[in-house]
Amino acid sequence: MFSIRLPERRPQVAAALAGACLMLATSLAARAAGGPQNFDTTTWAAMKQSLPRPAAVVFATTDCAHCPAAIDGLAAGMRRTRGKGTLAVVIMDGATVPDLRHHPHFAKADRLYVFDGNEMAIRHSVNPDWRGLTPFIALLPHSGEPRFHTGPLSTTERRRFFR
Amino acid sequence: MPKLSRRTALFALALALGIGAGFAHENGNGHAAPPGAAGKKRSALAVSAAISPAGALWLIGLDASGQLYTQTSDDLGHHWQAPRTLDIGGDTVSAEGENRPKIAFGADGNVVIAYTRPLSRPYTGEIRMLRSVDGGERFSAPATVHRDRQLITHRFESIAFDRRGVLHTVWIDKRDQAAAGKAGYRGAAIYRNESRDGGASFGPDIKLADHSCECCRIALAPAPGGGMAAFWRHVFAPEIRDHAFAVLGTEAAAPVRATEDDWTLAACPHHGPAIAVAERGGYHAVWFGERAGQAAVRYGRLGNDGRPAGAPLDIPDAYAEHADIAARDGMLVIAWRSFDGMQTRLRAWVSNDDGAHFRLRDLASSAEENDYPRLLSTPAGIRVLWRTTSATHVLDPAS
Repeated sequence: MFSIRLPERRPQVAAALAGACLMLATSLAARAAGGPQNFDTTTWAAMKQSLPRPAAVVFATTDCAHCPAAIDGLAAGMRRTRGKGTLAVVIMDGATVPDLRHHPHFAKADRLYVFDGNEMAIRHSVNPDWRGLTPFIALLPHSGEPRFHTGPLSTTERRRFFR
Repeated sequence: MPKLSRRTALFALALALGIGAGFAHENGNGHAAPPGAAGKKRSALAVSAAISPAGALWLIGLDASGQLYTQTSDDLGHHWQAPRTLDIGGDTVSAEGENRPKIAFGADGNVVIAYTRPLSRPYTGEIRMLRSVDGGERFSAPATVHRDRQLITHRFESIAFDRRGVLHTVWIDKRDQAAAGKAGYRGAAIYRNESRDGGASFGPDIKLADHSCECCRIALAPAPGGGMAAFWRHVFAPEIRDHAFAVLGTEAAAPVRATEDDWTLAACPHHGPAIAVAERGGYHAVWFGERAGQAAVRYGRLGNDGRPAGAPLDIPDAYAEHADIAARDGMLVIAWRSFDGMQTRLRAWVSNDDGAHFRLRDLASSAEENDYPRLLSTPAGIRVLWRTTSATHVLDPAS
């Protein structure tokens, strides 16, 4: 038997902890089932805490012509981390699209998510300055805050991140 | 920010662990249904609207079952008739963001509805159209409007009847990109065709321009000479995502560069432009772009030839998105949505002197999921149509 001491005066921390646990649980379940997970206004905060790093999160749409190149480049970089890194792909318009895992590029993601809820609020929770352009990439280094990038990374940028 | 009590947090934690453990056990073989939202039933918020010759407001969109439907209102949204599902023979329909079903009214009872049907491979689609000759009482079975049938992109269609009754269909097409293969091709292309019998038959596919942006809507407006003008996001060399303008039927000339933001971007903006005819000649245009590092929705005047006429103005809202523009009876309206961290605000810039001066209006706000605002030119004046999860709002931007 174990107990968790929740902070008495820090409800936000408690919320983040609960969110992270929820994300972990649904992540395990979804990966086992091979399906995408929901990405709502709480997911990003939890993801920053829990994703194995280095991690790259690609926000994409099903009609984004530039997203495959971005995903392919990051997938190749992740292979060089020998399984330690994480490539997550978040599909903004995928909530009603079946078989996202069969998409040749989305299939390269270690974790696949779909937006669930108010798109503008979800974007704001990730980065208030993100205007919906895709691919929108969040790079989470081994430690520290995420860096955001619009469009596929250049070879130099990828090398710098995976170094 | 929402606060969570200790008890609620504990409950969420327990629920999370419980759900996770359950799935971990039951789905260990990887064949059970996923817990994610993909494939779940929900109404697509993306609709289009048009005013019929009789003055009725018609909506076209998808219901929670993914069925194409129309819904009409005889009093500009105060009361709505029951939705009517259309038989499209099992087609799936794109209805998200920049690409959604459209409806257009012609003369003599002609009504057409167009949509993109996604095909078997990602990024592919074909443009389908239903036709009515009795004012929308009955519609034909859908038919594909373009002659090219490759398994490639024919998507993001726009439709409009011109004053001569010619139906114009304009779309984003990747046949030239496919033909270029490994040689490479910048962006996609704009293709179009014409129907001179209200959508019963179509002329050949005509290339309007090489090198369009790949996934932004195309704006159409009546040209002063009686034809149709198009305004779209273009990829100027080497990778500048500004906008181009052309009057349909003038394909011999290169499209005109209509905006000069010089936005170099190797990504998809998902922000198409809008255009309206100016009373004193030329056009009013609104678009999203980045100029000297400043992202904004901008308003500008275009000459009759589509070239910029004067410096553009930034819309006074740093978070403005997906603006639309309409002009009627001396009034010019630009409407957009912006998110302030808590809710989406529906806002408008209203001018009574053809764009010389504007006043800012806050029209509505909602914490719900919501669609892009669309402007309608109605017999009663310009109206803003804004769909949220719980309602379809039709608002007078001037009152």
